[in-house]
Amino acid sequence: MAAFLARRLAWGVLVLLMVAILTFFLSRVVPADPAAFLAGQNASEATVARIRAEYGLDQPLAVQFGRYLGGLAVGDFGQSLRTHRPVAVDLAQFLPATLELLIVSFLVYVTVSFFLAVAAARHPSGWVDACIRLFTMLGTGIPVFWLGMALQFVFFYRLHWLPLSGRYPIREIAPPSITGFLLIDAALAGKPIAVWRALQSLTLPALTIVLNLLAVGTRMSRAALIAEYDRPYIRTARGKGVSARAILYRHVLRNVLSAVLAVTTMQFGYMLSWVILVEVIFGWPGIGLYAYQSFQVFDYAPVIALAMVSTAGFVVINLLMDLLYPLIDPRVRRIAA
Amino acid sequence: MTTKAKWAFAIAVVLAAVLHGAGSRADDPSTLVWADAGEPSTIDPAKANINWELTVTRNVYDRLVNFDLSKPAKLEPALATSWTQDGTAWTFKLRDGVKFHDGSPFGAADVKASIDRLLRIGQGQSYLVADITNVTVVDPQTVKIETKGPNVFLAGNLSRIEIIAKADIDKHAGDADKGDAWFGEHANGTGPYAFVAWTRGAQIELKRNAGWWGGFPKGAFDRVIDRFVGDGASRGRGLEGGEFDLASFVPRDDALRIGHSAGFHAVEGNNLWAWPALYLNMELKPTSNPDFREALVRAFDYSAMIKYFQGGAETGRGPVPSWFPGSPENSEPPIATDLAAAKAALARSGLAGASFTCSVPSGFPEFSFAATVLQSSAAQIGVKVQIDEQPFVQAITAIKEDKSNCFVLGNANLSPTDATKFFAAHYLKGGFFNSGKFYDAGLEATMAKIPTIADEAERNALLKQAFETVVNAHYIIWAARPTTVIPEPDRIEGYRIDPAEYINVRFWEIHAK
Amino acid sequence: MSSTAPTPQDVVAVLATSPSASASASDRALLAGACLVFAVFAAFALLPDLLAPYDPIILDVSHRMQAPDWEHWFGTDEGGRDVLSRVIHGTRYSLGLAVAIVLGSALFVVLYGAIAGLARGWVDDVLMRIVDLFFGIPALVLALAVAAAIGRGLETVVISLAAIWWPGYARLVRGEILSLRERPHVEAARAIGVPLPALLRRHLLPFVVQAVNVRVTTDIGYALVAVTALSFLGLGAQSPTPEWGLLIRDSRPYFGSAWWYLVFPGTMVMLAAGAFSVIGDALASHAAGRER
Repeated sequence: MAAFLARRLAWGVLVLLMVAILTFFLSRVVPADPAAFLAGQNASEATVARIRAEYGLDQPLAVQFGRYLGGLAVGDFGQSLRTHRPVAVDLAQFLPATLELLIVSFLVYVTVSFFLAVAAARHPSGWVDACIRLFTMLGTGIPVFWLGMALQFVFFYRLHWLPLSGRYPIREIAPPSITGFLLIDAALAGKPIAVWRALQSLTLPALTIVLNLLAVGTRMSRAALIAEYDRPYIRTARGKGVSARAILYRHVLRNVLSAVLAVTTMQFGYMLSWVILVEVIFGWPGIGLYAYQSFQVFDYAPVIALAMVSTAGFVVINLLMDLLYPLIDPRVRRIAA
Repeated sequence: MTTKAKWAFAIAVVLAAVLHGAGSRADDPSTLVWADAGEPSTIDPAKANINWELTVTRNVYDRLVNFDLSKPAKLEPALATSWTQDGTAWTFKLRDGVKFHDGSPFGAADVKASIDRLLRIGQGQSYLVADITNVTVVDPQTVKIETKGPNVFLAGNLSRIEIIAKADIDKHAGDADKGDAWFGEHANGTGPYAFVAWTRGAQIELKRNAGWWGGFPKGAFDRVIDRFVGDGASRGRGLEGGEFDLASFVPRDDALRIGHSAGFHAVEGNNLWAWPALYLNMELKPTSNPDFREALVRAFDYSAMIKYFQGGAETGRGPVPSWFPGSPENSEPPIATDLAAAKAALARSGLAGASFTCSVPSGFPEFSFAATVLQSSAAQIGVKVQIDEQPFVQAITAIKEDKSNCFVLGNANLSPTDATKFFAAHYLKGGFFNSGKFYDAGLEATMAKIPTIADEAERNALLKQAFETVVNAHYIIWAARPTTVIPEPDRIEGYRIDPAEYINVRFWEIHAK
Repeated sequence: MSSTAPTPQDVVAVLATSPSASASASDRALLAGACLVFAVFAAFALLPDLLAPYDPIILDVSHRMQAPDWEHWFGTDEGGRDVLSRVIHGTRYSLGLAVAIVLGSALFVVLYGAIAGLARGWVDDVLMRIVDLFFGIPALVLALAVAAAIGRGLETVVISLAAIWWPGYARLVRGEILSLRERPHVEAARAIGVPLPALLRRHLLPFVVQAVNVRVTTDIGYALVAVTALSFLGLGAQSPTPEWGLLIRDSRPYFGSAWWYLVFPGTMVMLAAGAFSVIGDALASHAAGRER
């Protein structure tokens, strides 16, 4: 077990290194000059050159990369040319927003997806099942940004039920930031109304993510459940008169748990990748929006930092999955042994 | 109904009741929410040079001089109450009793320190006053500013230069970067609104400075939230839905529609000198050929642009818009599409059938459209144009490094009276926006001469010459000069278009009705 | 842990192509509908000039921003171009790209996975480790990096998406080969000394291709969404290419005044992806049926 863990960790580090190399060099092979942006419009050539030297942008690529790697080793992601702050500071500021969005969305998704899949699997070919299948079919094809805009249009523009963008209603004063997770901070401040307001702002972006994940995840969970229901032992159990609920909770669920977990893991990884789109549409100040804004002005340290963070997330999640999987599914344990 | 269904129904009903009306509305009478098109990288007035940075610096700091938005040639007293020019020296008498937001008094020493610092840093709007050689504190209420040569425009250009506190500069002078970083995130000015807080990724909050020397209209806002909304469509949506009170750069179709819808009115005015203009690369084939450029200028479908702006635009005749004091535009020949002349020019160039790339800054629908019009107009004379849309800095670098033959730009002249600054930025060697690398020795000399001439008629004659030089070189296709349209909700009054800047906002003039 | 134990990714791969269609009437109707949609899009992709009522590129600014009517079923955009015609011409780019990416990945990978599955041992290990590496790269970040290096355009989209698409197939093919090896007829063929190429061709590839087929069909929908997402961010197609993602991107500033500009291209994406999803489902059921 320890050897396995060590090997997978080493592997994770290798993946991270590869991503760092890839994104760093790709970002430097760029037909433009961050120094020009930094100096601002109307700056003289001399000023631009001075700034280039100040930020070490005139050093050879290898030197720049060496410095960057060295910094990474001590947790220094470099300086953002756009915000003039260390990227690590920016990440600490913006990461909680992304995590809050992802975690809340994910919890909702897991719950709803479970109920939907069960509903579909218990009566395959019933009308509930048909609705769910239609939903998943159409849902896979809806681009998440399109969905976000549509939800904004309906719930903000037409109905005025929910805010258009941001983490907290604009005119209200947000609770003091302690953890960076608004829901928690609002609770800590002892103001239920603040929690309510934070939830309102969270609703549309989270709903966008949930709907997007549901379409794909439900399909697969449903497939797993149906396959399980098809097995001979279920027929036997039914023949013996075991109730439908007992069949579901005592047999089916436990056997599909691992499969569902695998699907859920994949979904989380997928979402890490595309959360940028949701953050851009909803003006959600997370690391996705941060990296995207930086990308637009040639400020690449944040983009690389985002790459590292998401890859690290991927690696950790996959590692957890690999560890948990054989524990959950005894069949796999047997094969592996 | 099953129990579960009953519960679900009940929850849905409660939720709907609670949610309805829970969305943000513009009910709070003393807070103004302004949706800006981006987040500042810095709020240091010595470095700020893009709209959303100026939003903060223009309202938190004051300048020596202001100008009347409806008559830009008319300068108004601000921190200076009177001024005179004597050759290369300007003397400004300063206002009494002005205090910074932290309570310290304002005086001539602050003016000297601000300008000296600005010139040392050399960024931001320093180009407007780059010819200042010396600033002298004559006494605490008087300051003397000397320039390299006599400059009749100095006072007008100082209407863009913010004054910061010498005490703040001195306090941080010992820091590694001479304290520059402090000014990037903090602001202590004398202006109508004081800086409160900057929530990264979201907004900057300002509060009204009740002790400001200028007057506030009745119903002025006590609190201003400068919200960063990078997406134009969202700014439009939010403005219409009441989440924002005012918004910068609302896409024009939305701006017109919202401005003419119930609950809103449209504030219209001239401001930009070019929006958009297409810059051709003078050093890269095929646009390095003057006849080829002329062909493009004559082939461009200007009427398509007017239609795009739904009639609220005119076709420019040259670099200086007609409403600018002393502009020769109305006496110049109009520019119109002439396919026959275009084909003739193309034939003369010998470059029939050529193709080239146009790098277009993303995020501005008008720019993309102008490039599309160029593409289709060029197709009419057999020239192929490829569009490459990229973020602004990448696009302008592409043409400067000869990877593209054309660039699209929209711009204003920040100075209310001095046209030479616009020329310097766009048509003189080394100008940041001179993306196509235009150069004319005569033009350089003319621009150096104009500020030294005291007689207005003589200056305008030289301006006319300069105007014609740029036009005849066919360096620029002036796609359109539209009016600016800002939708303002009926509950708010006071927004005025600043003719000498991009969409700019003077919070101290805005009030609830 | 043995490298032949099913990993979570393998499970997902199987579930993604599990049959969920049955032979009921409503399912048959759905399949018929999907096939019709597919046929329409295929026609759009192959014969756009014939089917589109207007030119997708030429500007007609006098008729800009018109709501859908009998002259322009999908309305017009900011330059007066007919949105329906643009959508029709865009099929070749959006759907074509998605198909190219998926098919390209699959083709490359059949060989790759076959080698891994047949060779076993350290060759298999190394090849699969490389696959794992690529699995770890977040798609969007890779696309941003590639765009930064070679600029924007359809090539960027193809390279970025192909790079992250092929690992899934590699595992699928390898998994198939691994399980096929143990089958009686394959064992028998090897026992009587059938040479490797013939073994591949006659006994292994047909099954592999079938499995890949199903996955490919369903994946085209996902690839299509990914292509549009990249264009939406400005990394893909450039003006005036009427690629669907670019249409959605361009429509954003005009959304408040021209809802049709956003809604119709988005609906096309949804329909196309949905159709492929249904067809993929049916193929999976068919395959499962045959296997039984």
